[in-house]
Amino acid sequence: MAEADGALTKISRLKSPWILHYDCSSCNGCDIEILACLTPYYDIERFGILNKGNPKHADVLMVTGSVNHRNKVVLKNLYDQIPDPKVVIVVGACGSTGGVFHNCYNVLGGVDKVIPVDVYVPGCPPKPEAIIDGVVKALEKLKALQDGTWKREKEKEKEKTEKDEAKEETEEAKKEEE
Amino acid sequence: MDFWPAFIGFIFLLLAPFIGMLVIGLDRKITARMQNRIGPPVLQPLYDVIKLFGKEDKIVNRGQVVFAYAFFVMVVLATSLFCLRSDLLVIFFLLNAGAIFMVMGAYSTRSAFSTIGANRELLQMLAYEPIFLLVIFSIGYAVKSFTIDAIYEPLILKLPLALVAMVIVLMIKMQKSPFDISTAHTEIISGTMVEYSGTYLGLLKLTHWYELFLILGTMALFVIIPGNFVLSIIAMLVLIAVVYGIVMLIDNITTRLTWDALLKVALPLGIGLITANLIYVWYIGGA
Repeated sequence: MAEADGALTKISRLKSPWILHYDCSSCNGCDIEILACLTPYYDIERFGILNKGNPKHADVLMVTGSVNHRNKVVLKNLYDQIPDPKVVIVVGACGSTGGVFHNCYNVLGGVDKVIPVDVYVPGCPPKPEAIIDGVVKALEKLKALQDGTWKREKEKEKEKTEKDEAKEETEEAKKEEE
Repeated sequence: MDFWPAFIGFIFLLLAPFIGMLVIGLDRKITARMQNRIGPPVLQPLYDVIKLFGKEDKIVNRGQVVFAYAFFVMVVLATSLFCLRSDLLVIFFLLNAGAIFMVMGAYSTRSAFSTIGANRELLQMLAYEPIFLLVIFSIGYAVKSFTIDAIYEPLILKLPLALVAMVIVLMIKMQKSPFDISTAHTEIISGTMVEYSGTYLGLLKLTHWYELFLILGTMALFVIIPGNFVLSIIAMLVLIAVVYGIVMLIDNITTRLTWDALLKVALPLGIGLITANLIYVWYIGGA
């Protein structure tokens, strides 16, 4: 999908990642650190990163906190509303594995239980530098996705099924010939 | 029409979106410097729009797409008429037809944010349209014609206060604080644009570049020096730099007004300035 785009589009994607920040029952520690990235001290806007409050405008989904049964629907919904190509970054220990809430009766665990995650930024809370590094890692992944050097599991499966179908078709055609 | 004015107009029409983009890019850079940040590169708006054009299409309904295209076509038509030095009234009506299409696009979805944004956009139009129209009327009164071609002297000598009124129009139209009620980022996310994504959001951004060019161009008419092309261009650039610098400064030091405060501030101020200016024109007998 992303491989067919022009070189200019590919460069522009890496230069303007707009972030949607969603808080899945986080304690706000990670959220404060994410917002700290916007301050003059770290100034992530110099990389073209903007914090958009709208999934339809976003490219990067940044999730904090452990997922529970209440907000898993919201998280899935937000993920589906972001137009492709998109990457998901999980910030903090709770989002990565469930953290101290792991095995709680209401907690599902990490964000990856609900949506596919590209980058994990561990820490409780992680430093703003680590979060910026996470975004850079996510962009590297997006670049690999664009160049076709790396594929998501979903797309791999899709390709596999397509190949299998093609194989079956050719086999059927052979049988008919025989 | 002669060849050279038409040719220059054509060049300006091609340059229009890039001029709008550069102004917005410089705006973001200088705003960042005012806030003691480094800020994005000047070409950042271009990257944003190219990226948006490369994204997946996710539309809410078909009407939304039609209204986005209608908005674009109307504003580009207005810009091309402006570049061909045509009638200011027609340009004004086309520009506002475009704005109405954007409002209709925002109303066509069922999102509450989009509807509130559309309501506020209409209120903004209520605030800036009378001022803009009266500015054009006062140009017509001073020049005795509504065509741009007929301007025979720098208008700023006769209509200095109308130029100040145009600054209010620029601020409302370009969603600058304290008049940014319809795309209020922290309240209603991005108002009228909330339900647009991908290509169509890019199209709206592109249209905004044209709009910015058009409004700045209308202001640049005030310092046009007929018969001297190079001096005119220099005067226009200086005027735009000064005016936009003031707008950025106000944008950074003020907070957003509520919608009724917007009407109470913008309308009396704008109409008062133009009235005072028309009295002055009548007094010096220049009309």
